[in-house]
Amino acid sequence: MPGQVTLFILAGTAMLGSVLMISRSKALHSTCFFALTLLATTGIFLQLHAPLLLAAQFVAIACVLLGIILFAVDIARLDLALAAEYSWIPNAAAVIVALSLLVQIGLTILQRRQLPGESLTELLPRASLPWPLSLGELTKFFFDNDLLPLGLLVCVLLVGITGIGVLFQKRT
Amino acid sequence: MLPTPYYLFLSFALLLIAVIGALIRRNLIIRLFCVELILNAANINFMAFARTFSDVAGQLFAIFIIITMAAEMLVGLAIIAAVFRRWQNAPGRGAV
Repeated sequence: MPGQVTLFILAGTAMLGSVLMISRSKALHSTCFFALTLLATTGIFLQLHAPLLLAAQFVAIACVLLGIILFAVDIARLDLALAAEYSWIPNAAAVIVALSLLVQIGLTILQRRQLPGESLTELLPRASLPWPLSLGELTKFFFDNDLLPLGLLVCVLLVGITGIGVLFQKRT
Repeated sequence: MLPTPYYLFLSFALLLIAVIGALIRRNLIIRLFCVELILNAANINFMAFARTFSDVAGQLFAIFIIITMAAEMLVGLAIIAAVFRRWQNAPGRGAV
């Protein structure tokens, strides 16, 4: 099944990129593996018939913001660690969080097995919208219903860009 | 369509890796990336359920999350720049 193979390849790439991202010592290498993870995720979005999300993630995250991060890490040498001394508390917290998440997902699977009549896809009724939506229909729905939150988020993005510009101007 | 649990397990794996990375790494930029990865895992969940239920609301939430990710990355980078400038002037501490 080609779709399943594609999903496995993309998921493996995303997981491998994320593992390499958190295991590299240099932030520049982590940035590159983060970009790989995001690009694999955009492939998964495309497989889920979400071209608008693919475009948004690819343009907004993978190109523009990673350019800024690469600039900040590589050119401005903005590579900072919190403390040099070793502490066992974050590692213990990571182990506890990982175990609790694993226990939670295990309990969810066991509970699902105990209720064979209920599957995840039968919880909510299906919507009447046609699927897959075209890019034009999705954009029309988006701008008809959620224009105000979009405007607010764009304002937040503009404030962030202005802040970055002001900070780097003061630094130089 | 592929089964929804495939996407859920992928999202769970990414969430687990990101949470572990955010807890054990000390580099601020990598921690920022881990937070972005957590939001990305949430996006995969939203998209999987949007596809399962044929509901466009999941895509809308995912787009909001992507824009929030972008703004958060910019603000986080600005905070890191401010911390970096302060630590550069402090004796005995510096960039790694």
